[in-house]
Amino acid sequence: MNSYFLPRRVRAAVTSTLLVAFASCTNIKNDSDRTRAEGAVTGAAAGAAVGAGVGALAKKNANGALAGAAVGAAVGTVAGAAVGDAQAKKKEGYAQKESALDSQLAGLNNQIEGRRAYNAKLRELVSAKEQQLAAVLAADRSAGPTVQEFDLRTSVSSKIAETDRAERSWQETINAHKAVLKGASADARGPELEAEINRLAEERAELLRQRARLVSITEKLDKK
Amino acid sequence: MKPRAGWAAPAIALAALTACETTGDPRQGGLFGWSESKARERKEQRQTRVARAETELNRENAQGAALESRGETATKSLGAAQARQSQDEKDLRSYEASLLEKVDRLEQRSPTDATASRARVYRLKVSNIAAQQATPPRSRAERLKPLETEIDAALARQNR
Repeated sequence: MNSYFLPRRVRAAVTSTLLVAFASCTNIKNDSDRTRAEGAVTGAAAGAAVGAGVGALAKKNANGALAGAAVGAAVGTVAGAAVGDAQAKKKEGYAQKESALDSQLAGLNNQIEGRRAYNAKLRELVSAKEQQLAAVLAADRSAGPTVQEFDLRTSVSSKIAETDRAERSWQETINAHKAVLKGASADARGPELEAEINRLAEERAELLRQRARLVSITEKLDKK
Repeated sequence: MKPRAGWAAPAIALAALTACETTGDPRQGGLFGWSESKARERKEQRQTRVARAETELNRENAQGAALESRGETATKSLGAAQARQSQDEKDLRSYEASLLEKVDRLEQRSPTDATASRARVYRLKVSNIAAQQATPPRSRAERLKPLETEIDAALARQNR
C-alpha cells in the first residue's frame, strides 16, 4: 500500500457519494432543504476524502484510510451541514427581500393603475367644465347681432305684423263683397263687383307673397 | 501519473457538482447552483423597478393634484360666470319691464294714431332686443339705452 493514494474502495465510495449527492439533491423540492442537504453531503464526501488521506498517511494502511474516511465523513457532515444551513438562511433572506419587493411593486402598480384611471376621469370632467366655462365666457364677450341687424329684425317683424293686419282686413273686405254679390246677382253692377273682388284677391295674394319674403329675411338672420 | 489518475473520477464528480449553471433565484439552485452576485443583481433590478414605480406614482399623484386644482378653479369660475350671467339677465328683465311700462304710458297718452303706432313700434323693439338670447344681457341692456332715451324724449314731448 502506497501512502500517496487510497484504496479503490475509498475512491469509489467518495465518487459514488458525490454522484448520488448531485443526482438526489437536485430532486429535493424545497430549496432550503436541498441547500442544507447538499452542504451536509458535500461536507461528508470532502471530509471522507480528507480523512481517508490523513488516515492513510498516519497509519500507512487501508484500515487507517477507512477509519480516517469514517471520522472525516462525520466531521465533514457536521461542518457541511453548518455551511449549508448558513447558505440556506442567506438564500431565505434574499427570497424574503425579493418577495417583499415583488409585493411592494404589485401594490405600487395597482395604485398607479387606480390613480391613472381616476386621473383620466378627472381630466374628462375638468375638460368638460372648462369647455362649459369657455362657452359661458365666449357668450359674455360676444357682441351678438349688430344694431343694424336689430333694427332690421325689428322693422321686419313690424312689417309682418302690419301685413297680417292688412291681409285680415282685405280678406274681410273680399268676404263682404262676396256677400253683397251673392245677395244681388241680378244687379247690373255685378260683373264690376266681381272684377273688384278678383282684384282684391290678387292684391291679397301679392301681400302674402311679400309676407313670405319678409319671413325668409327673418329666417336668414336666424341662420347667421 | 497512475496514482493521480485514481482521483480523476471523484474530482470530475466534484467539478460536475460545483460547475453547473448558476441562478440568482434564491428559491432554486441549492448550494452549488445558486450565485449570490446574481441574486444581488436580481434584488437590485427589483429595487430599480420599485423606485421607478414610486416615481411614476408620484408623477400620477402630482398630475391628479394639478387636475383637481384646475377642476376647482374651473368650477369656481363657471359658478361665478353663471351667477353673473343670471344676475345680468334679471337686471335686463327689470330694465325691459320698466321700459315697457314707459311705452304703455306713451301709448295711453298718445294724442294721435301715429304717435300710438310709434309707441307700439317701441314696444316691439324693446321686446325684440330683450329677447335676443344669443347676445349677452349686458349688450342687450346697452342696446336698450338709446331706445329709452327716445321713449323718454317722446314722453317729455307729450307732457309739454
